[in-house]
Amino acid sequence: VRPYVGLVTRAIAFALDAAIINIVALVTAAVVILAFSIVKLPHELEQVAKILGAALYVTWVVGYFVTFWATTGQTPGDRAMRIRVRPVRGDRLPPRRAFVRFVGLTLAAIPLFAGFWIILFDDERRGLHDRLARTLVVDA
Amino acid sequence: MPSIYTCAERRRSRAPPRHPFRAMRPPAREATLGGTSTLTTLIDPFGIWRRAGAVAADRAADGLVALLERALATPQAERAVRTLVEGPLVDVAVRSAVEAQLVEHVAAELERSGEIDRIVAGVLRSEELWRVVDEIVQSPTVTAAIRGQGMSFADQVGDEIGERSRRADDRLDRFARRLLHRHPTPVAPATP
Repeated sequence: VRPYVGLVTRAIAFALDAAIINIVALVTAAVVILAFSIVKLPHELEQVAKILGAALYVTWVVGYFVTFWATTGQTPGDRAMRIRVRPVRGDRLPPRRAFVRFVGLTLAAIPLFAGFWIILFDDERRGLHDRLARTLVVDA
Repeated sequence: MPSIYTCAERRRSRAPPRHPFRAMRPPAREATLGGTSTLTTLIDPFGIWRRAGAVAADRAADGLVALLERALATPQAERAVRTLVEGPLVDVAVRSAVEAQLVEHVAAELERSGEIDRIVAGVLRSEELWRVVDEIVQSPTVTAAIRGQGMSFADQVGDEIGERSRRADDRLDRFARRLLHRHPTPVAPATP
């Protein structure tokens, strides 16, 4: 039995996380838009609000992954799929390495998800982000 | 504040009864008995014998109850009950009831007479039943059981999806390695 988790399980866990992140973001955005629909803002302020919204969304996404990886080692999606992110050595991932892992995740997706395809050929099923942050994804 | 009682009434309420048995005597009882009451009044003018008889009967009943309680508390009584329950008598009674189709007869009779419908309708109409049902539904045991059932279902679904996705992981790995003519993945030790 291999304790390392493969691409399909990790993709499902990631899809669950993406769903949670976007549902929360959409509900929040809907509430904010409804609130602003009754208050007429000047054009300049509208631009500022949009930039602020985008920054908040990025913070929410980064905070979501980094917080879960650095605390329990499991995002809600990982928990549903019974998998866990852990450092190669040690038990808990430091927040800085969790952030590196998130940056690596973004970089892995850019060139046609090439950073993820290497999971299929790695003996420990590690992607680009796992190599950068020195992490493993194992059965929980 | 002026009292609503008259002096005579106050005096009467303070004064002790002339005879203790007379005070205990139920009012107007003898008047209803007509002729018998006259005879009783002659024989037992103060009702002493009647009261004494009642007291004696009460004491005898109390003594009997105490005796019965003592008898039931003895190991012999326990042994007797155990012998009765474990013995063949209960089996014989149950077997006889089954052979005589007692339950079927009773059920058929109740159904024929329409008594079952009446009983069920009466039970369903009663407020108490619905109060009991509400109590049961809201009880912590039942809610915990329902929650446990829901959790176990979610766990089951999670386990099933996890199992299938892991099989898919292995299959995809094998396919990718075959495609690139690489050696199969070695099985890792139990702890990564």
